[in-house]
Formats: sequence, structure tokens, C-alpha cells
Amino acid sequence: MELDRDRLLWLYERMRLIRAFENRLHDDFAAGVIPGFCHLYAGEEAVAVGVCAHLGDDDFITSTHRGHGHCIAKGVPVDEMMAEIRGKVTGCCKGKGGSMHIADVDRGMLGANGIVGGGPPLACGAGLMASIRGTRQATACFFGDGGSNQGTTAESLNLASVWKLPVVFVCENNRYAETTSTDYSIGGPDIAGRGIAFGMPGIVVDGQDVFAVYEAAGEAFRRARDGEGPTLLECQTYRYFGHFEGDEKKYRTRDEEGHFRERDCLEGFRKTVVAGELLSAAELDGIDEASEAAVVKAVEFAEQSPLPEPAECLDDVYVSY
Amino acid sequence: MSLVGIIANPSSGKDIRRLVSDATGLDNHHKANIVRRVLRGLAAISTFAQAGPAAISHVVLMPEPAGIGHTATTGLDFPFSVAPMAMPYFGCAEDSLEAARRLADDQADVIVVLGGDGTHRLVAKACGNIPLVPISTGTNNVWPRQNEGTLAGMAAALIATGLVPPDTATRRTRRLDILRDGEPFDTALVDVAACDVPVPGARAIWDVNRIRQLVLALAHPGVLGLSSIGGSLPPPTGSERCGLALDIGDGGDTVLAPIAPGLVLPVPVRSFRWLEPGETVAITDQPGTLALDGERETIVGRDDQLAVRLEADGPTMVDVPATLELAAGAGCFIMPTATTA
Amino acid sequence: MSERELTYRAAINEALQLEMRRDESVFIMGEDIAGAPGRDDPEMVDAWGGVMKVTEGLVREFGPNRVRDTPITESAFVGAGVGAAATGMRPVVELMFIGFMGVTLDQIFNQAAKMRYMFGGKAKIPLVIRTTIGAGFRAAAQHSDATYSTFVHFPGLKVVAPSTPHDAKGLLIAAIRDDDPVIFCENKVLYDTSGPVPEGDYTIPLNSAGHPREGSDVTIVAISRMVNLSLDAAERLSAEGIEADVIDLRCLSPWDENAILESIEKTGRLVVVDEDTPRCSVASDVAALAATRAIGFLDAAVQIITPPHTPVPFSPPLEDYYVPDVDSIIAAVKATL
Repeated sequence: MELDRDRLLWLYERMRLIRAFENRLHDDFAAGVIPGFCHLYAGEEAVAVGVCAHLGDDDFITSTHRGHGHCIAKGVPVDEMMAEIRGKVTGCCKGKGGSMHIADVDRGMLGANGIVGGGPPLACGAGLMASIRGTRQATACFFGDGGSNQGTTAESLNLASVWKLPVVFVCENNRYAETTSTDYSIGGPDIAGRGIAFGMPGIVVDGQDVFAVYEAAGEAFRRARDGEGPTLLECQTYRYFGHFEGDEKKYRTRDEEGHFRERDCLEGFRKTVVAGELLSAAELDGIDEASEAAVVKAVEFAEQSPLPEPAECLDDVYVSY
Repeated sequence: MSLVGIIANPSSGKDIRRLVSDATGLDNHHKANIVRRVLRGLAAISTFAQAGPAAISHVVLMPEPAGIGHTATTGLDFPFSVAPMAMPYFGCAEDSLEAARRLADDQADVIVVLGGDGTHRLVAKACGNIPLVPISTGTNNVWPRQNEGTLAGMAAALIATGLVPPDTATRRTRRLDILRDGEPFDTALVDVAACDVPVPGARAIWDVNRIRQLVLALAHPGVLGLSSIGGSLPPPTGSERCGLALDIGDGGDTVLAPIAPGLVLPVPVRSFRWLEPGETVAITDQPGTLALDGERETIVGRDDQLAVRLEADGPTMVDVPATLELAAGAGCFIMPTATTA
Repeated sequence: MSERELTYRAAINEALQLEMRRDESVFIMGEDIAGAPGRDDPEMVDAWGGVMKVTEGLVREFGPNRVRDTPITESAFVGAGVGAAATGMRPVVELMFIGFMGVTLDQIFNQAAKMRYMFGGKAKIPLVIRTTIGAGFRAAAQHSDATYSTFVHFPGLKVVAPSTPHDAKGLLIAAIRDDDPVIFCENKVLYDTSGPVPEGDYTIPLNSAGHPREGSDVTIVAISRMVNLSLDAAERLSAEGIEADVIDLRCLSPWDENAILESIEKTGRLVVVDEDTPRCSVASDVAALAATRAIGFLDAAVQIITPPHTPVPFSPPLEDYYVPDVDSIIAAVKATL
């Protein structure tokens, strides 16, 4: 829990790597080299990183269609991710999943998910595994404000509460489900309150502040691992880019975007740690450079990787058939 | 013609203390219901009492993403206009500050606030002398009272219309100014804690082992939160409780203090001194953060010269039961004969 | 091998019991599979043992941690089965009636079925979903379907539908040990039927067909309870000198194409009997197999016997009309001669 130097460096390094990765994808998509859809995570980095800072390789996460940040925070290598997003055979899913289905089960990443609300029941399953076996493994279930309206999410909150599963439900409330704002779509009108309704603590967290997420998630995972049951964290955040690449964002104002850009998680981190004399600006600059370099390297890896052979379409449906 | 503002913080009562103590949450539907009751209370007084030229003409609500105001007003007609304030809003703490600033500019007659100490602190930073009708919906509710919405609305109307003269049913509370190099830059209503947690993070401070210094505007044993540490001490001989500065740590008495809901902890108090308005306490514990009204706000660097000064002229609070009692005494609630049949 | 007889219900129960004893990672969950969850009163333990009493007694041996009553929340608990399978368990989830797939289909076909593929083969989902099929209980449209063809349609799922106690046990053990998600369809009209079931554990391959009757005149391919009706029809046809070759299509995906093709090669005539509705069905799939791979052997048009393309009706004469019967199978066979 204590924010030592290594932990602080890790938090920044992961957030910065996500930002660099997503910014590069934004450019590459515009350049036409990315097949399919891309839902970028830039702006929300503090949530994934503040949460995953408490997880080891044997803990689990379930993710969303906007999953790149979760993957990087959980330790999925960016080379394999970039290759996957470009449909290369060296990708973490051998080019079969793409941006929306990046997964790394060995690292506890149970998949980005193209179905809104698809993840929460799976998270209950990972939690159930730990609960039946009596381990201290915990699971983070990421979903959005849109996902909070799906029946699967409500069912999963209830089931996790009934069975006291070691699951932390992390709602990334970025205010828009595609074009639809939370003002319109959230009855109640309260996402955190839905946790309370199902008998678990539901709290609001500043999702632009990695320290706020880190502390709240730390307590939530402590509860989970100690058998005190699930928690719902409503992390209020913002996506910088559109719902998907190519979205002109006609449904929100530039003023609003500006407001959240002013509360950028990376800038906020920098201000806090420099003011608190925890890290130096030079150290952070070094991470900035390293992150950009890692992404350049990932792109090179992806570009140099071969495309899959067409007949590989037939593999991996079943273990045996 | 009078103007009433309502500031309902959608994030109040939802912080990390639900995970580290037995604090419970108040969902926004409940807050919308309270706002609805406030509006009905305001409307009842506005309609039935003889408010005259000071009748309530406008009620404005702070806009916020949860749409508490919209939920509260749906399907209701009021004898005054009800509208969201025309201001940008982002669902952040700054919204409450901005709303209070605009209500001060518009010379609102009274502001009804739903929140805890943190929300009231933000409103108090900008509202000037406008009387506040507090409704506690926070975690720590030392400053705001537990007022019922309907009654709070009625009291707000009685004060706004002048049916109950504001000076008879309101009181000036104290405040703590935070000084950097001798200049005030922030304010707290109840307590300022210097702690060794390096970042504001999740804001709340609940681990008393991390607190080094505490300055209180209010020290009463009947409240939860950090001010209860001071409240747990016997009052000064021959005088009432006033402000208090404490050093937390071994070397003195240990007191039992209810820090948060369900969390009653022993707290070692190395030393303390009672404060009178105008007295200043230097923050000597560095580095770390300063928590204002229970929420970490300001990073304290190694070379910062920070201090806290107790001031007598804090925000004005409406005493809801006293207001209603005065109104009853003046016959404000006796309806005209024609309408009682 | 013992010659003892067990009911279809008891055979399934025994398979679950043996696998739970053998492998700690096997657990079962579903609605009221024990009953009265959370009650301390010993009289209430195992209050139901499953709505069809298939899981009766298991909670007494394995306890509520591994015999887990769920709230009525199919999306969540089927999905939890998928998640638990992806993280190393071997869950056996009971979906009380196949019609309830309507509330949990995403977790079955978008998650369980696709995960391995989407993840480039780097996940396995050893999940069994036990569910009930079949009309005959006057249970009307939402509790009587036999819509297994829906699942056959989805790549990534395996689907089995045993017709005998022997096959039910062997296929369920195989399904539990299999590393892919398996939809295990139990015909509720068969629960009280009995047959020989060996002691101990044994498996039946999940891509196999049964061959309960040999004959040279006509091939009858049947599924689940329709196998029993087909065998009755075959007996009556035999009295008339017509010998039917009956294939029990107990595994629907994967399936044993060769068993079907070899039989057609032998008989030159094909009748398919399926309790599922007719369009895009396993029956039409079998007919397509014959048309694409065995047309040269066919001496007559393929006959398909299924219910009409309607939901299952409630009132007894309506439901009796709906379900294929022995007479209709005999008529279909004669139409091929």
C-alpha cells in the first residue's frame, strides 16, 4: 500500500506507456494502417494503472472494448499488443482477436470484450474460482457507464454480493456511452449507489488522479482478499478521443474536453510528485522518452511481423474436435 | 423578490471512508428526494405565508451530471421559477465552488446545501455572508446539521422572505484560514490536519497514526471526525470550548475519539492549547499534506511556510428549528380564514 | 462390467459424483440444485436436489461450496461458469431448461464459445452446461424446447444429447474432462427410463454416434428421445419385414459423419427424426450431409420427421400433435421404400 519510490515510478511509467501507445494508434489509424475498429483509452490511464497496481500475475481482470489501457496496466507486452492490433501472427492472439479482444490469460488478463456488459459475469467466475479454492486471488472487473446499464452487470453485482466474491467492480464513468451521456442514460441517478443497492460499498473516485484510484482500489482489494466481499468503485474520468477512431465527437463540447484535459492524470501526477519532492522532473522526463521509444519499438516489431497464413483461420476454435 | 440557491453535491457521502469504516452511502436518488422536499417546503411557505414583496421569485439549482435537480423537480409546479444555474459543470468539486460564487454575485438570499463538511467548506469559500441552510449528506457532518429537507426548505423560505429576520435565527460560525507566507489561500470550517501522507489521493484521512498536527475551529465531543479528538478533551477551565491546536503523538494523554462512523480509536495527544479568534498556529510538520475538513488538499513541501489562523467571521448558518420556532411564535403558519374551510 | 440398471437421472447423478470425487476442480452450480441455500436447518438440506432431482444427495457429500445453489440469475452464473473455467476450474452449470438460454446466450456464444479463438488458442474453457430439453410434460412453450441446433450452429461449442442412461453417464464424464465448452442436453422425459449402466468411470467419445439397431433396408438417424421412438418404430417395421438401421446421433457437434454415411451406403434410404423445430436444424443438417456426400447412394428422397415450425403448445392434444410419434416415423420409412 505504501507509495514507495519504485511504486511511484511504476505508476507513472505504466500511465505514460498507455498514453504513448494510444496516441500512436490515434495517428496510425488516421494514416490508415490499422484494420477494423479502435477504441482508445487515452485520458483514463489513472484508472487502469491505479487499480492494477494492486494485482499480481495470478490475479485477474476483465476488460471492455476500450481495453488497451487495462492490458498495459496488467503487464501485457506492448509489442504483442501492437502486432495484434495490426492483425499480425506475432500478436498476443495471433491476429485472431484484434484491438477488441486482446487477452493474455497467463497474465490474468481475461480479454478485452466487444460486448458491453460481457465482462462482469466472467469476473464473478474468476472470483468464484478463488473463493472455492480459498486462495487470496482477486479480480478487477472494468466496465463503463454504458456497461453499468446492462443486466449482466446488475446480476453480477448481486451474485458477487451474495457470494462475497473477491471482485472489485471498477466502473470507468467517462460520461459517454458512444454518444449517449450519463445525464440521459443513468437512472437513479447514481452508479456508485447501485453498489449500495446490492449490499456492497459503492464509492466515487476521482479517476483523473492515480493516487485517489490507487488508495481506493487498495482498500477495495484488501476487503476482497480478506473475504469482506466486493466493492464498486465509480471512477469518474474522461476519454480524450472519440468512442472509436473516426468519431467526430459532435455530442460533447470543446469546453468540456478542455476542462478534463486540464485535469490530465499525467500532468497531475507530475505536479504532485514534484511538489511533494517524491520524484524529480528529470526522472519523469526519462520515463516519457522511454515510453515513446517502447512504442516506436512496438510499431517496428508489428511492422516487421508476418501476417497470418489464411488457413490459420481454421485453428484454435477447439482444443480438440 | 428573493432568490434561493440549492447546491446538492452528487459526490458527497461517497468517499473511501465507506471502505475503511462503517460509513454508509447516500445515493443520489435519495438526495433528489431531499431536494424535492426542500422545494416543497419552499413552495409551501411561499404560497401560504404572506411573504409580500420579498416573496420567493426564483430558485436556482447547481447543475451536475447526476441530474439531481431534474429528478427532484420532474412533474411538480412551483409558485416560483425553478431552473438550473447557467454555468458549466463537470461533476467535480469545483462545481460547488463555482455555484456558490455565482450565487454570491447574484446576491442570493439563502443557499440550501446538501453535502458534508467538504461540500460546505467549498460553498463557504465563495458565498460571502449569504446564510446557509445545511443538510448533511456527507461522511463527516460536523458543520452541517442533520436537517430534514421539508423543514430546511421551510426555514430557507422564512429567512429568504424575511418572515423570520435573518439575524434572529442564524449564527456566525468560525473558520480556519490557511496561510502561506502569511497570506490566506484556503479555508476550512472545522479542522485542519497536517499528516505525513505525501499525496492528496483519495482525500479522506482516517489513519490517525499519520496525523502530526491538528487545528480545530470546533471541538465538541458530540461529533464524528477529527474534531472529536479535541472534543474528547475536557473544556478549558472557566470558559467555553473554542478553537484548539493539538500535536498528535506520544508524550501526553491518549484520548478515545470517534474518527469516522464505527471507528472509535485511541489517539495520543502530546500537547494542546486552546485558541481564540485571531490566533495563528504554524504548521511545523513537513513534508506531507494538509487535510481540510477531513480531506487532504494541499501538499506541504519541505520549505513551505504554512500556518492556520482561527477566524470568528466564518459562514452564516441558519438554525432550522429556531427559525421554525420563531415563525410559529409570530403566527406565520396560521392560514388565512378563507382558505381553512 | 456389472449388469445393474440405473435410471437416466441416476446415471447423470453418478457421473457428477464420480467426477467431483476424482477432481477437486469440478464443481456444480445452478438454481436449487440442492435447495434451501443458506438455511441452517438440517431438515432443509438438499430440499430439492435439483428441480428434476438429478443432483440430489451431492450437497451432502461435497458441501455447498462445490454444490452451489445460485440465485435466479442465469447470465451471471453461466458467465461465472465461463470465468471459472477460464481460470482453471471445471464447472458444471445447470441451466434448468434450454429455453432459458434466452437470458444468458451472450455468455454462451459470445464469451464461452469464442474466447479460445479470439485469444489465439491461448485459453481453454472446460465448461459443461447441463440443460433439459423435450416436450411431453405439458410445460408449454418456454420449458419444452429441444433447440439444441442453436448451439450446434455456434463454432466453439460442443453439443451432446444422450438417449440412454449408459450414454448419459459416459458422455457426461467425457464432457467434464473435455477442455472445450460442452452443452449437455438431457431429455426430461427420459429421466425415469432405465437401462444398464456400468459401475465406475468410463467415457464415450464426444464425436461418436450410437448404433442401437442394425438393419439393411432404411437408415433412421434420430436424436435423444426420438431414438427410443425410432427403435419402437423399427420393431413394428421388422414385423413387416423392413429392417431399419438406427443411428443414435448422441453427439451433435462434433458428430460422427461416417456413421451416417456408412449406413446410407448400406441402406440407400434415410429418415431423420428430430424433436427440434425443422428450420436450420440438425435434421436438415443430416439431410444436407446426405445430399452433399451420399447422393449417389440414395434410392429415395430423404424423409425428415420433426415437430411443426411452431412453439411447443400447452394443451395435451396440441402437444401430442406437436411431438413426432411412432406412426409418423413408420409412415416416413414407408415413403422411402
